[in-house]
Amino acid sequence: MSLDPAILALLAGPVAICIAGRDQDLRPSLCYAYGCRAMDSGAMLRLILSRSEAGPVLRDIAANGHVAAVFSDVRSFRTLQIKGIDARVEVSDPADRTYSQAHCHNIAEELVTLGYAPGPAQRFFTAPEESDCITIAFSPAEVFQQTPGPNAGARLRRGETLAGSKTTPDAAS
Amino acid sequence: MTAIDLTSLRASLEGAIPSEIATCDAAGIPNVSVISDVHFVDPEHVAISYQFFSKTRANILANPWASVLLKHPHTCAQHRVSLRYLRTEHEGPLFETMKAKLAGIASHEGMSGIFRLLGADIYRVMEIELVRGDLLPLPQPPVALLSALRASLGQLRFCRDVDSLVATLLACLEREFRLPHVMLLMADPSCDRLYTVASQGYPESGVGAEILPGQGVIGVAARERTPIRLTHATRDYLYGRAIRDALRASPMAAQLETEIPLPGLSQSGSQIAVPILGPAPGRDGLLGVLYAESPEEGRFGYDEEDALMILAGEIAAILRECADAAENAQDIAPPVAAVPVTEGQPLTIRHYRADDSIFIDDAYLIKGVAGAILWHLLGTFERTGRVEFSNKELRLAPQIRLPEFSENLEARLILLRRRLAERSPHLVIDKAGRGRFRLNLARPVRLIEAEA
Repeated sequence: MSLDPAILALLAGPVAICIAGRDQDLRPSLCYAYGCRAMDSGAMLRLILSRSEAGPVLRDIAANGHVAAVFSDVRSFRTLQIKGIDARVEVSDPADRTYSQAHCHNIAEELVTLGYAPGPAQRFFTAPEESDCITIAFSPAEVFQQTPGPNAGARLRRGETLAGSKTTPDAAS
Repeated sequence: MTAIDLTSLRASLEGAIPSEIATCDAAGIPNVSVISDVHFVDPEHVAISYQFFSKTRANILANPWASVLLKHPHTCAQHRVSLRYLRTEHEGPLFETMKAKLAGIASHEGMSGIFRLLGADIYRVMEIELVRGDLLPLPQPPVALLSALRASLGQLRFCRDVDSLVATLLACLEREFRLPHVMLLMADPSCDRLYTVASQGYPESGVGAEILPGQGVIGVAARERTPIRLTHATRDYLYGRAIRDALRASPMAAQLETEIPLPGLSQSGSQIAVPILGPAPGRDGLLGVLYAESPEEGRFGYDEEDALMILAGEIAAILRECADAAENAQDIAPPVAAVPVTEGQPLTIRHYRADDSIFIDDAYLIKGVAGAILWHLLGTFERTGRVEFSNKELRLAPQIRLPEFSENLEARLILLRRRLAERSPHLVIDKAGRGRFRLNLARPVRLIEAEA
C-alpha cells in the first residue's frame, strides 16, 4: 500500500527510528535505524541500520520477515508505527548510505534548533560507517498512531492522515 | 545473572531519555513502543510503568518476552536488555517511587496529566547485550560521593546529642555533598505528621512547619518508607498552597501547624527525600525524612540516593544512641534560679490550651508539643524563678503530652529554640550541658492563659 503524504512527510523529517523483529520462539529483538527511504510513495520502505548494532534483528528478519518500525518526530513526539511481514535484509546501496548521513545530520541540526546543546543528544543519531551499513526493505502492511497518550495504538485506515486522524481505539497496536 | 551488571547501567535507567520496548503477540507480530522510563529495581529486575492498556501490555500478558534499548544520557552507549514479564504491582514503595518519577518526566515533557500510573510491571532481566560503546566521555560527577560519605560519617560519629547531630548534618550536606538547600523533618511517633526541625538554604527556615504523610516528595517518602526522587521537579509534588489547604482540611487541623509554611525553592529542578528508618518495623520505624533540592535538573541520581540512604541510616543509629543516653541521664544538677529581669517592657506571652499555641506580643510563635514545652518552662519560671531545666523533667511533665521517644523531645527543643531565635530575640533557650538547657530572658514576661 502507498502511504498518505502526511505520513511520508513525517518519515522524511527528523524522526528517531526503532525497529523490532522476533525469533521462532516469539522473543522480540530491537535496534535503532538511521534513516528510512520511502520508495514508490511509500509502497516500499528502506531502513538503514548499523550491522554491528542490529545482529539479532537482522537474524530474526532474515528468518521470518516480520518487522515493526516506530518513527518518532523529535520536535513534536508525534509517533507512528508501521508493520510489515515481508521484510528482507539487503546490502545498502550508495543512496541508502547518503540518505542515512543526511538524515542524522538533519536531526542533529534540528536538536540544536530545539535548544539541545551540542553533545549527547546529537551523538545518539550518529549514522553508521559506510562499511557497517545494512538495509531492511519491506512493504508497509499496517500503520498505527503511536503518539504517547491514550490513543496510542489506534490503527490508521487508508486515507486517514496523521493530523486529526480518525482513530479506532479498539484496534490497539 | 548476565555478564553485564545492570547496576552499572543505572544512569541509562534514569528516564532522562525515552526508551523503546519490543514485544510480540501470540500470532508472532512484533510491536515497538516508546516508553518514558525503565526503572531499576535490583540487579536482576526492572519495572516499566503501565499507564494505558496498550498493545505492549496485551502482548506481555500473552507472551512474557520483551526487549528494551537503554541509552546512556551522557556517553550515548546503548544496551539491549532481554526481559521476561513477571507481575504487576499496583501499590507500595516501588509503585510510589515510579509514580513520582513518572510525574517528573511527564512534567518535563509537557505531558502532565497525560501520564498516569496504573501499575508497575516487573520484569526479570534475562540478558544484557552491549549494542554500542561510549561515544562520549563520562562527565566528572559534581561530587565524589564515597568521599563525601566517608567524611560525613567521620564527623557524625562524634555527635552525642540531637543538637550536634543536626548541626553537623547540615554542615556536612553543604560542605561535603554540596547540597545547599536541605531540610530535616522528624516524624511524630504516632506518625500522623512530620515537623521541620532544621533547614538551610532558604530565606525563611520554615522550622516548625508540618506536613502530613503522603504530601509531596517528603510525605510520600515518609508514608512509603522509601526514597522518592524527582529528576525533573513537577507541580504534582510541589508544596505550597495545596499542602497547606490539605493540612487545614485535615480532621486534625486544630493540632497541626498550619501557620508556618514549609520552605522550598521557587524554581526547583530536582528533589530527593530519603526516609530515616529506625529498627522498628512498619509505621513505628520512621524517625524522619532528609530532603534536598536543587535548581538544577537531574541533580539526584541513583548514586546520590544510595549515598543519602546510607547517611540516613547513620542518622537513625545516632538518634537511637542519643535516645538511650537521654534515658540513662542522671538528673543531678541543682536547680538554678534567675537573676530577676526588671528592665524593659514586659513581653506578653499568651497560651491557648486547646492547641498549645503561643503568641508573643500578639505574634504567633508555635503550637503543639513545642508550645506546651515553652509554656511549662515559663510557668515554672514564674512560680519558682528557676531557669535551668533538664530534658528528663520535661519528659515526666504530664501537661506536656510528649511522644514516647525521647529523640522527639530533643528534636522539639531544637525546633523551639530555632523558632525563638528567629521570632523572639528577648526569649532564648541555650544549652546548659548534656540533657540540660537554660531559659534566658532579656525582658520581663507577663503570662496570660487565654481562652480559645
